[in-house]
This record gives sequence, C-alpha cells and structure tokens, in this order.
Amino acid sequence: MTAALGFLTVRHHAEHGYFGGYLVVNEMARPLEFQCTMAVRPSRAQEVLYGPTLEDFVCGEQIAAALLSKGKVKPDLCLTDCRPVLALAQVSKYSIGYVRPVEDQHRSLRTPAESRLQTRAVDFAAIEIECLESRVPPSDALSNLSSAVHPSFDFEEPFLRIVEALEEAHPITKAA
Amino acid sequence: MQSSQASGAAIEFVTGLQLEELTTVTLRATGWQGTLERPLEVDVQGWDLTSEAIKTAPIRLTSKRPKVVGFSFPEAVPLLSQPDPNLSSEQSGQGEPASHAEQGSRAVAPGASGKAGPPPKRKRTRIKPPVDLVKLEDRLYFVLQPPLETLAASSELGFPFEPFPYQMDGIAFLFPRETAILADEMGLGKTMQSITTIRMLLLAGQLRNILLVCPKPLVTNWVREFSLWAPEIPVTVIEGDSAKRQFIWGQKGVPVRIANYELLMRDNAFIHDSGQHFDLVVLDEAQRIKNRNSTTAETVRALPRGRSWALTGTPIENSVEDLVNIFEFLAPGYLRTDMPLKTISKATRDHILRRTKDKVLTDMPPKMYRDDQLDLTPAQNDSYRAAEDEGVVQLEDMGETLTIQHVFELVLRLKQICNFDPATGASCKLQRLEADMEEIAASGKKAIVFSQWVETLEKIADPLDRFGPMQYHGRIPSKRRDSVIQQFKEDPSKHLILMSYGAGSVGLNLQFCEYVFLFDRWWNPAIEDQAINRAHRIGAAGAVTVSRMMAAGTIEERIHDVLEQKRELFNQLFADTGVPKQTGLSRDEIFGLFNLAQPHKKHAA
Repeated sequence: MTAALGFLTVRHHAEHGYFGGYLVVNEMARPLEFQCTMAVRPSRAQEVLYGPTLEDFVCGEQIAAALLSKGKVKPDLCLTDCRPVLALAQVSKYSIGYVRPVEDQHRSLRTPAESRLQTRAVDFAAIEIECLESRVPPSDALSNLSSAVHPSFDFEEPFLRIVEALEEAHPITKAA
Repeated sequence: MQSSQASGAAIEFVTGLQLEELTTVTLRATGWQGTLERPLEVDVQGWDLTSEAIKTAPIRLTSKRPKVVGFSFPEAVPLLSQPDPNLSSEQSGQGEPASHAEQGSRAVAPGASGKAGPPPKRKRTRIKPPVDLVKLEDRLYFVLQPPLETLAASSELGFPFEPFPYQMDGIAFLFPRETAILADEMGLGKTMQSITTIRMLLLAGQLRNILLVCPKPLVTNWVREFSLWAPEIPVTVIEGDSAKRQFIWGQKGVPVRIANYELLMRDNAFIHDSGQHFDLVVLDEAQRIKNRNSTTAETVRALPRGRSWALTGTPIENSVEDLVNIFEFLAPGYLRTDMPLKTISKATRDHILRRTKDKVLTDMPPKMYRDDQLDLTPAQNDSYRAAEDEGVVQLEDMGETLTIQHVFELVLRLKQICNFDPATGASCKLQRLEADMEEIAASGKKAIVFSQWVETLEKIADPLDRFGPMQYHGRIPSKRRDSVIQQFKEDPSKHLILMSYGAGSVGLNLQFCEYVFLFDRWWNPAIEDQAINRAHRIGAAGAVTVSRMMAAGTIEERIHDVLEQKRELFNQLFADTGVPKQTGLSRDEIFGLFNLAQPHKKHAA
C-alpha cells in the first residue's frame, strides 16, 4: 500500500513572524511534495483581539489551511509538531495529529507555544499522536495506515527537514 | 431667553425648559431686602441631548491567506491522481466524535506528554546541497531528502558491515554533487563510499548509465567490491578483443561499466561512435590525469557525461598543478594554475572531501614507523663509495651539458647498491629483513615488502624462500594477480609478499598484514603512504609496523630527509590555514643531493 503522510510545522522568528512548512512523504519517508509560506506577521489588532488564541488562529486557521489547500498530494494523515496547528481541524475537513516536538535549541526558528485546544491521544504506528477531541480519525483507517508505514519510520525527523528547508527558503531566518 | 419675576426671601429653582413653570420665589426678611426685591434674571441654555449618536471605530480583522510556494517531487506523480485522503472527514464522516475513536484513545491535557515519546536516537546523516547550487528548488530537493540511514533502511539496502559515520558523511557529500573529489586517505573506504552513493542514486532514479575508470590491476577489486556492497547492481567489465569491447560499449541498459585507463584510450572511438552519454563518470586513482596533456587526461575529458567524480588519496602529488588538472576533468576552466593558492584553496573547498585516519578512525590500530638506519656491508660500502665519488666527479666534469637526468641516473645507481652490492650480492637490508621475518613468521604474522625494482624483489625472494614469499609486480600477469593475493591471504605458510610500488600501492586490501617494509624509498611520500595503507586500513588486525630501510650515510639518508620535509608539507595541504606548496623534489633539491649547482646557476656565479 502506498501511503502519503503530511508533516506540517509552523515556526516563529522573533523578528520576521511565522513561517509555515508542509512536507508530504511516502511510507518510506521519501519526499513527495513541499509547500511553504511567506512570513506571516499578525497585526497589532489581531494580537489584541485574539489574545491567547492568536497562535491557534495564525498557525492553524491561516497558515496550515493555506498550506493544505495548496498541496497537490492528498495526505492520508497530517501530523504536526506545533500544537496550535490542531486548530486547523476546526475550520477544515482535515484530521491532524500532534507529535511532540524535538526542540533544537540552536535554531533561530522556534516552535510556537502550546495551545489550549482539548485533545485526545491515539496510537499510531509506534508513536502516540494527539488529535482534536472532536476530530479523532477512525481507528481502522489509522490501523491500515500504520501497517503501510515502514517500521523504521522516524516521525520526528521530517519536521527537521522542514525547518532546514524553511531556513534555506528564507535565509533571513538562519541563525547567525 | 426668558426672565421671571421673583418674590420672597428664599429662592427655589426649578430648572426645565418651561420657565413659566417657575411658580414661587420666597423672599425672607433681611437687611438686603432692596437688593432681593430686584427682579431675578435667569439665563437658560438648552441642549438637544437626544440627537447625539455614540461614535464607534471599526477594527477589521482581515483573514487574507498567506502566500504559499512549493513544488512536487517526481515520486509524487503516481499519487496525484489518487482519490481524497481516507482520513479526511469528507470520507470518514465529518467531525468524527471522540466516542468513535479507537479503544486506546485517551483525553490529553494540553502540555501533557505523550506515551510513546521519540524512538531511540539514531545518527541522521543529512544530504546538504552543494554551495554552488543556486536554484532554490534544486537546493530543497536535497535538503528534503531523508537521512541516508532512513533511505538505506526503508529501501532495505543491506550492508555487509555497518558503515562508519564518516563514510555516511562521504556518501552524503557525493550524493548531490555534479563534481567532486573524494580525497580520503588510503584505507578509509573511498571505493565503498562511491559504490554506495551510486547505489542510492540508481535507486533514486538519478543515474542510469555509469562509467567507472580505474587502473587495470584494480578492475577485479572494483568488481569484488560491487558484489560486496551492491550485489543487486549488474556490473560489466570492458574487456576482451576489439569486437567484444565495441559491443559492450554499444550495449544499452547497462547500469555500471568498468574500464581501465589503457582500454579507455584504445576504445575512444567506440565510445563516441556508440553515442553513449554517461550520467556519471568516476575516475579511480585520478592522479592518473594530473598531466593535462597526457592522452589519458584528454581521453577522459572528452567523455560525454553528466556528473564527474574523482577518487584519489593524493590529489596533489607534486604541485598544485596536479589538482588544477584534475579539475580540468571535473569542471574545465574552473581553476587556473596562475590563480593565487589561497583562491584555489577557497574555490575547491566545497568540491573536495578529505579525511585522514587519525581524524576519523580514532580507534584504529596505530601505525608505527621504524626508521632502520643500516650500515652497509663492507663490500657494499666499497662499491658505494667508489660509485659515488666517481659519479660526482663525472657530473661535475659535464659542465653545461649536465642535466637532471644525469643526476637521476647516479641516484638510481647508488640506491641499487644500497640494496645489493653488484659484485658480491651482499645486502645489509636483506640481513635485517631476514632477521625480522624470522620473528614475524614465528608469530604467524604476515608482511609486505615494497621496492621500486622488480629485480630487487626477485633477489629477495630466494633467500627468504622459507617464509613462502609471494610476488606481485609488473612481471606477474594481471590474470594471476588475484590468485596471488588470495593465496597470500589464505595460506598460513605464506608470510611475505613482495610488491613493487607501481603494482601494489593502490587499491589492494591487505589489512591482515601487520608489517610493512619499505626496502627502498620512493621519490614521493604520497606513494609511500599509499603502499603502507594497503595494510593500515579499515579492518586492520592490529598495529601496523612500518620499517623504512635506509643505508646510513648514503644518498638514501639524504632523500629521507627531503621526503620528511615533503610529508610535513603534504599534511598542511588541506589544513584550513595551510597553503598548498610543492611536494615533489625540485630541481634544486635533486642537484642538492650531491651538492651540485645547476648549470645555469654555475654560469651566473
């Protein structure tokens, strides 16, 4: 079975704002498609009025929605290491799972803060993912997908690729 | 404006719009009655409060979608026609309720940590795009590739041995490069790194037609290494008579061809007539093209190709010109000999990968040098002194007709005497070698003896017969050489192999030998290192002892001193701050061996 897994991350740069990256890979972790956004800087009004839900809005409803709508390959499952991206599920048809990120302290791009979205944990392949309470994928579909993914698949690693690609695409974000 | 008449001592004000409604003004009796009796004037001003609207300032929260750019990889094409995701809510039911989730699902508080956590940490060797790759999409193509370990595991590319981390780095270096020199020190596995990269590029569909060119004695070694590291790749060796070779060159669908340099030159016309275009040409022992005008160099430069890789442990044998000429194959015109050395160093940094054993194999057995300064036997000494004195006098008498070749001839004659006395056959080196071999054989070990002369090797063989000497040099037919190595490796009675620098210094894996004897010295330390590294390489059984034999107080000792200086210079070549310098013997140095001045300098004096 051929599988397509989407990996979506949003990173924040102190000076330039938010950058979204989206990589679709096959069951052997080989790249199929890559999309990234230009820098997104919320306005002052958005900062004030969205308050603590600002990153849910920017990361999930704005950036993630834009990335997924631009993608050509439809993912069987989309994963993110950026919790606010889960808000995407509130405004779109996509199910999205959260994978706890591996922080690379040496990078200039930081993962946005934790979101307050209520999630539910489900097992997927060798890891546990968190999905929005109201949008947990059906277990049989997850199970089928798990068996299609290569046993050696490292679910953290594609996010590192995306961050490197973001730094490559936006050299201004590279750490000195 | 209206006014009202007030009366009485106290005043009650009633405000309102109708002044007529002011009904009573009470005045009390005080001393101020007169003033109080004066009519009261009241000014009234009205405001129309009901008509004033509340002002609002609207703040619009625009939700303009961010601009997105991206691209698809070739592997995505088959998936583009697939139906929508089976996990999207359109198929799985909009807003799958939590109760439908699988049994193992659990509510998670924000910030709580997951159950499984990350898998065990593994090394991730990432492919980095070359510096000169400009187009973003091309750069991202490499940046977004999975780590090599993932590629290997997911494709189930088996390895006979776990590659060393630095070897994975070497593969990651070669993978994205159109032009590359893998200049690792001998023994670090340039062959394996090249083969594995080729394997991965074939798998990725980036290569289909590869030509590998190597010295003739190494062809079988390459075939063997391919069968070890990439058994699934069919390899075709260019060999046989002219008709057969022409047929092989013309074959389609052959992923890997291996040709030796000599046949390549001979088959130049076949290659071009066949219309072949190679996706990759790999030159092994690429120092073979260090002479820009040689037929070999011209032939390989004319090969129709995409990628060009050069493998060599000695990209600079004598001067920076060697490197410039290798680059003429990789990227014609990229370097010029008149460029400042620092500019060359900077320009080549991203194209050359060189690692040394001491840097990457910290746990490899040590390599110990032993300089055996031996006194000539009396017979040798007499012959040597006579030859040197007579030779130097002759050279001095030649005056302006003296050339460097004359000096070379004397050097060679003296070196041969240092090996064996031409009159008696006496040899201080052979005596020492015999003594050492007794000990080596007794402990069940094996040794390699290098000489630049086949005659010397043959002379050594007889007296050392009890140690089962094998011979590997230019007089041993190519077809027999593999069996010689095999027998030496497997037969416990064979403790010694006699090799010429020319035949035995490259491409052979003799890591089961713990002793190397340099019976005489080569002109260039890089060649000596190649020879030594036949034994001191990955898989070496133990410490390798290198005995450098030299006759004390002779030309050999003088050459040794110069070579040591050269070795120091070579070690600086690839240091970040080092500036490449000449490593070969200069004319001055050669004449200086006998304290001779060069003819034109004599003239000038």
